Amino acid sequence: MQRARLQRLIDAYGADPARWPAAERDAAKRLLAETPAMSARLEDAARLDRALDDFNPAVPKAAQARLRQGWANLPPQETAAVAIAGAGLPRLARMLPRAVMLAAASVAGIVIGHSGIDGPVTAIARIDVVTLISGPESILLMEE
Amino acid sequence: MQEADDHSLMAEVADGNERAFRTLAGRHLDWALRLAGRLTGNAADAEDVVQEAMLRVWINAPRWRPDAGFRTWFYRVVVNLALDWRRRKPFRPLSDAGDPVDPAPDPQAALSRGQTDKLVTAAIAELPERQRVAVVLTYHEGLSNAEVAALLDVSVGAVEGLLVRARRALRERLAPALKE
Repeated sequence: MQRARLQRLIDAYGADPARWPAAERDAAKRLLAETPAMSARLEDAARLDRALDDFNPAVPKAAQARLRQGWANLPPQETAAVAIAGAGLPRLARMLPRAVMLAAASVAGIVIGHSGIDGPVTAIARIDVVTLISGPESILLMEE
Repeated sequence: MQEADDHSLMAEVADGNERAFRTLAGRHLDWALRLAGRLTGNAADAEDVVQEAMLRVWINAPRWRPDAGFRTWFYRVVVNLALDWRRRKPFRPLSDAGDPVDPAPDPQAALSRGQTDKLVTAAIAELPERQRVAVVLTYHEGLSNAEVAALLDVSVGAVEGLLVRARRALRERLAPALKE
């Protein structure tokens, strides 16, 4: 391994050899042991590693609970559409009762006046239909 | 072993088994929320992203094929949704999250940690999109460069380039904190 390659590994993956590509790790560690001049670069990288390692935001328990609660009433898979108000899938989506989702999916693209059969939602002013058919990249938004 | 379990669960989810879905979704909930939080920079947005990602699991299960493994596929779903979310909404810092994070046992440590989190969150949020994803997946998710390359549809060399540029930018932005 050339010294330039070792520098590149440190600059890209940091100071911890565990993060270096496995195929190059042993050679890089040997070269590192033979190159004391690299220690300053390594320490510099280690400082940034520590800052990144500390970035470990807690996951709010309340969010977990809300999401789990939302799974209690799932829309039928074959519907392949979820009604939401506004752009994207805001929290309203997980609060929508099954009946609203079914109704919204069946009349996608029109305004629904809902009587609140299963829950507190009384009206949806606008419907976006997110078609979730072919894969993770396929988000199709059809507004009104 | 878990991957095989995931595959079995997905087969059941494909048949409309809600219990299997809840097991599968619960298994991946924590890391998905954490990943989405790092990519969106906000816990409330992360919750919405994960909600949508889980719905995709449920709805797409009948058409899902275990070519790359469930976790790899789900990584891609969460990453793409988080990026899409960021494009549609301005960055909101962690402090704007709807729920307080769980309290740490040591308030002083929590304060220090919170400050570091804010600095790093802001620095990562300012990175260009692909650099941000490369950093989070490499350093925080522990994915190999080949896995990151596959997720981003780029070469391993390109991932290295993203990481080099990202680390250079982070070092500059975090310079005051790194000197401490």
